[in-house]
Amino acid sequence: MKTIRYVCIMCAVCVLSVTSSFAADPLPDYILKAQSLVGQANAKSAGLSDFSDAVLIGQNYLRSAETEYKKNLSWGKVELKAEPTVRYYADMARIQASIVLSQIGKIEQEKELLRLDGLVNEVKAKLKVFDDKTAAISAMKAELVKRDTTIADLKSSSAELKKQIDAKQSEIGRLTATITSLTSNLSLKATALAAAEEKNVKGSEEQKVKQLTIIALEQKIAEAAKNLDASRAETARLRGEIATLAAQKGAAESQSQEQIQSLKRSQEFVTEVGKLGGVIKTGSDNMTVIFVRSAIIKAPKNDSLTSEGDAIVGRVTGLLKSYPEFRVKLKVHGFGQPSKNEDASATDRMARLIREALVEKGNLDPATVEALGAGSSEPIYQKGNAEGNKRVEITFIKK
Amino acid sequence: MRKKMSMLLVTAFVCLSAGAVSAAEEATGVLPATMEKYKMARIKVEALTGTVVAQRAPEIVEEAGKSIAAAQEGMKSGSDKLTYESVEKALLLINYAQVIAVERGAEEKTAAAKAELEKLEQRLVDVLAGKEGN
Repeated sequence: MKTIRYVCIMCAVCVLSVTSSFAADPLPDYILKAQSLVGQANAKSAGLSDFSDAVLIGQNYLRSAETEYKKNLSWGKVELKAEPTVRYYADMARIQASIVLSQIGKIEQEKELLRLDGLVNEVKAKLKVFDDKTAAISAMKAELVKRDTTIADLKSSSAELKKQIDAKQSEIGRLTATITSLTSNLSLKATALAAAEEKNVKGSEEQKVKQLTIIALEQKIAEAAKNLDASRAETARLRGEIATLAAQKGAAESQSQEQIQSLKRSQEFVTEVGKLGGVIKTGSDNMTVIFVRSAIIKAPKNDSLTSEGDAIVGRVTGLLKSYPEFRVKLKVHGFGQPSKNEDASATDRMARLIREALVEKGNLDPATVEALGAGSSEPIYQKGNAEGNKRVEITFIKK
Repeated sequence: MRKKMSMLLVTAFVCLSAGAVSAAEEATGVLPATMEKYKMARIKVEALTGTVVAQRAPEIVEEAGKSIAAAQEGMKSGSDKLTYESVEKALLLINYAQVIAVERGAEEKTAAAKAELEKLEQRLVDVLAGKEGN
């Protein structure tokens, strides 16, 4: 009797273990994969109402696959005849879930592309500032080369004039020697004439010849003296020209130095403004840096500055102290709703808040900082991106 | 007793009729509506050849082609169920191929924009470091 009871207990244990092993058999791979993808699609589409129907279709296919599988399960395996149907529903669930995931992936890619495009435009705007300045520097360098050529030409002309002066001076020396010689000759002739007159040896004809000779000599002396005066005048004129050329050269060099200094300072200022962060916009005689408003003013109360805002204010006051030839104009923009008037006064308060921080922290002359609330009158985005219009524009203007 | 007997007979008749209808369907083969759907699906899969969709999602288009082949097998064996399911799967795969082609296109654009941004940022770093423009 005991033996029979023992055998019965053993049989029951065996049956239980076999049953539990069948129950614990894992689902086939194709159902597990479908379950995983439908789960992912469900999780990723949470909050996206456009995909709720598509996810529901996938869930229904999966449910059908699981139901068919359970219905046709025999000894831990699905019946051979029912397997294509189970596989069909699982495949349809997998493909449907993949479509949903792919559509969500596409939306995410588009958002990323939009963000990257914004960054690309921002960096391009910054680079344009430098490209414009580089072009201006190249133009100035070309102008300098041109001026250097002019200075070299002036130097060459100056050397030529000096040569001419030397030649004239040498001619003056020669003429002076001739005059001296002629004067001496005349003196000798006059002495001889006087001696002849004293002695009364010669006749009137000889005296006439001598007188004519004296007249001819006197004429030659007068001519030589005239030539000498002309040479002296020419020398004076040439010296005057050299002095004028030297003055012109000095002025051109001084002007070039001033322009180079001004350009270098301008380039340094642009680099410093670029380090403020934000998007840079350049005008013909000013530069504007655009910041997202929430980076400077604490939202939603908008009555105090953020820590980043404090840092930006510090950097701007530093810039204004280093470059006192500039002043700033602040403009705070609103988001466009509910009404234009409300936004104008609200943004005006925010503009005054930043202005006070600049004047107090930087100990600046109040006339250096101009502040204005633009409200929603100057949007840069369409209504769909009204939040993007919230911005602070700081414009640096030369006094 | 008679009532019970009549109930059993009705039940047996319903079961036999259902079996008979199923057997008749098997015997008559594929339904005309399924045939039409098969033709439409085959044209759609063939039309994908050489398109951007086939270039960007070749593995999905290939799977759709296999489903069309399975549908042909179903038609040969006269199974409307196999044909219908294979055609449905092929149509869903065509839809998937089109969606994934668009997603992969968006991925390519994003990668190009990222590369351009990295290039521009490197140039900006060079400019700010004074390596360029002097």
